[in-house]
Amino acid sequence: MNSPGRPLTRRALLRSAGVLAGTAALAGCGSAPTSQDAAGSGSSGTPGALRWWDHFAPLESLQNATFARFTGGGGPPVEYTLYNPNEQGQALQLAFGSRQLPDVFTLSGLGVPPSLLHEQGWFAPLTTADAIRAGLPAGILTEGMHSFDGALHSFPIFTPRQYETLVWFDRNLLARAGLDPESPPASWDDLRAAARAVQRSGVASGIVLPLQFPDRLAAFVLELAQTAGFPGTRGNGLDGLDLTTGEYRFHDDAFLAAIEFLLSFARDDTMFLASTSLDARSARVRWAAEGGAFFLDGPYNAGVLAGKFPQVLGRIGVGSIPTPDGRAPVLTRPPNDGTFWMSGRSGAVEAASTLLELFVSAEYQRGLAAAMDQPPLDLGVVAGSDAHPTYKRCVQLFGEQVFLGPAVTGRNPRVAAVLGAMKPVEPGLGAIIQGIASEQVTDVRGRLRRLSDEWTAARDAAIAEVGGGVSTADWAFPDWRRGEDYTA
Amino acid sequence: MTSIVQKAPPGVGRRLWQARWPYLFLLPTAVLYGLFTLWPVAASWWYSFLSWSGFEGEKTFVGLQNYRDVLADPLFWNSFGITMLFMVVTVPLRVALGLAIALLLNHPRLPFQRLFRTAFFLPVVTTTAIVGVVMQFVFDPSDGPVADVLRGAGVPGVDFLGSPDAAIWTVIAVHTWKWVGVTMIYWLAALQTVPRDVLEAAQVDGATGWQSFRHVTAPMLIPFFVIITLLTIEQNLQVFDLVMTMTGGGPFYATEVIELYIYRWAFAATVPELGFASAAAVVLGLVLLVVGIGQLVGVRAARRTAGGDA
Repeated sequence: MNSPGRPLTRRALLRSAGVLAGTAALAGCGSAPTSQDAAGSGSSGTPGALRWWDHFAPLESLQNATFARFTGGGGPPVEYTLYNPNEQGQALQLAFGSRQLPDVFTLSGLGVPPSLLHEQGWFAPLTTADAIRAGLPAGILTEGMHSFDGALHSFPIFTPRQYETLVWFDRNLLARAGLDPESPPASWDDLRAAARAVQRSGVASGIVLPLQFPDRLAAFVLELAQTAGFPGTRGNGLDGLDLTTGEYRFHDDAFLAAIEFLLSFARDDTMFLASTSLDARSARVRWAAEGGAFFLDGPYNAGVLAGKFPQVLGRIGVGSIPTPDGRAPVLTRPPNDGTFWMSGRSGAVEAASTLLELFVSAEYQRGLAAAMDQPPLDLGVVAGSDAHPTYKRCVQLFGEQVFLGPAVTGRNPRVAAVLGAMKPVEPGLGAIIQGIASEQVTDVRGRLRRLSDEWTAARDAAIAEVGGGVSTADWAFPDWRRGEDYTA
Repeated sequence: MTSIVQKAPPGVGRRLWQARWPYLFLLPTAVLYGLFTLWPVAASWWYSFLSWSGFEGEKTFVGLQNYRDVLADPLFWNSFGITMLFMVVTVPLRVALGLAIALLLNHPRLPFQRLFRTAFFLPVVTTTAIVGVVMQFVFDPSDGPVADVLRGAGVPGVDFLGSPDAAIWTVIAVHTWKWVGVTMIYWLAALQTVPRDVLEAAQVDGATGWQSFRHVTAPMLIPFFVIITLLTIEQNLQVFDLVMTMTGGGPFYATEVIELYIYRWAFAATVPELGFASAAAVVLGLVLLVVGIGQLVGVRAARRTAGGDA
């Protein structure tokens, strides 16, 4: 210790600082496990709180209200983290690796079937399964998707009856271009003509497309191809598959026609020029700022606009996905995977499961309708909700145009193991569409045929790796009929 | 008779104890370097021999299969080619431009020298990701300032970031603008080593400005040229943040440098392949190692040259 009359030397000061820093570091290292134990799960936040991660931005208020209801009813507080969908997958990977998964989470950003994650110990079964089953419509839960060995692990909160290629438009811009906002274009040619009319009028570009977002481009083409007659669907490991034969057919005429249509706006000079650098979010912003008259997006567009740009809501309209000949579209969607999952390492499974009961309540379904994200399981609640008229229109269209498709993992749970073992094919459909758009891919059919072959090879290799009990026949549904719900 | 008593040298433990304070102060650096540099390097080598998505519990040892897959992937070679193109174009550009600016700013009669130096160095201290995002607006083909100027001049619109022909060159231009300030500082430091009296002697002998540069300054800068070039090469291999924020590697992989390729497979793929990505990272590491060895040889050669000249 320095005597009062002795000045503090630089060396002594550095020594003291080093010792203090070391002590602080040791103290910091020592305290971390204590808080983790106290929380019973994660490593940070309020002790005893449930940790919840999801990626539903339009549902933020609804989630907070639901958590408040849960806590008000005697449940522990909920530490809620809203993720960017692009970032959550990475966060989940890191959290699982470091044993810090939150108590409840969504699977955004993970392209792995839930059944495979279940095998790896990601999930815990719901302890209040009976109450949750009672709150759900019949036929919505599937073994291999939501239940494993009979134990319910998750459930969907959104309906599978939806699609993402709705034609949103700015009513004011259409009126200024001499078009009738009450009768949006129904056919591919109608939409091209309407975009040309807007472009010529000089009020704005014809259409804004998110060309920098390959996943969304793939979604558009998979849905447009169905309107052109392709017997397929989108999601649940069935992209590009002919449901009647189980073959990959990305090179089908319907895909070529859909891509040709989607990219025709660039050739027509009716596409908002910056579309090549826009993802879905930035494209929505530019469209809302009157960059273009038309915009392709899902039903959640209304919810995002209501939250971010409410002044725009008064001048937007929506129409159904356009079809080659203008006739009413018929689309197929497989059942949805579970939405929320409980961590297999959670120390608060009972509380988390009790919380999840609130998510099958009628109140929550009404809240989903009002939040205008993906439509709720019970589409009937939307009409009587406070949702914007465009959102109600979307849900009405979905009820008429979208039919339930088969669940490939539901019929044979071994399929999930194959999906998990399949090596990803790069570039995928979305990236190839980008390549076609930028004219780096010129032999379109040849490139798509190669994509089909690559997926087929990846599936064959995965089937061989997984072993017996599954074959390519598990991907074929010869009894499936377009325009009918698949119930087999 | 005088007897000399020779003391035994102190043991290792005693010497360590005697020098305990320097070692104590080095400890945090050693620990952090080990945790955040050595451990990830060693881990990525190990992962490169595994078939592992990064989040599965099961890791399968596959030997050199990931390396075979990486080397057989045309998109890897596409990324490698873009990385090399980036380096081959930007290194001479930065070195030459940096020298030109440094010579200009080193001129004794140039007014506002400090202001100009600061102006050229300012982009260097600006966060690269911010620069990337801002440049998206600057080069926006719909209503960005560059597009407006071109339209005003009657030039048809160019999609600087969305066209495969223009995107890589746009990124190269922005990268050069962003980092040329560092190269300029290197050159300015080097120029301070040129003795003023030698330059004055050349002037007295009637040498023009160009002759002074050609026969006096340039020869003295050669050792620095080697070092600056090698430093720039190494720096130009690390452009992840700028490319990610400006183009994300697109359109259709037209700007996907190797770092982005690794990132895509490790994190952004539908089903990540951490083992495969690690193999690609190791290959990149080997390329950097070759550059590093070249750097070492170059620096030694430069030192010898400098010593010979002295």
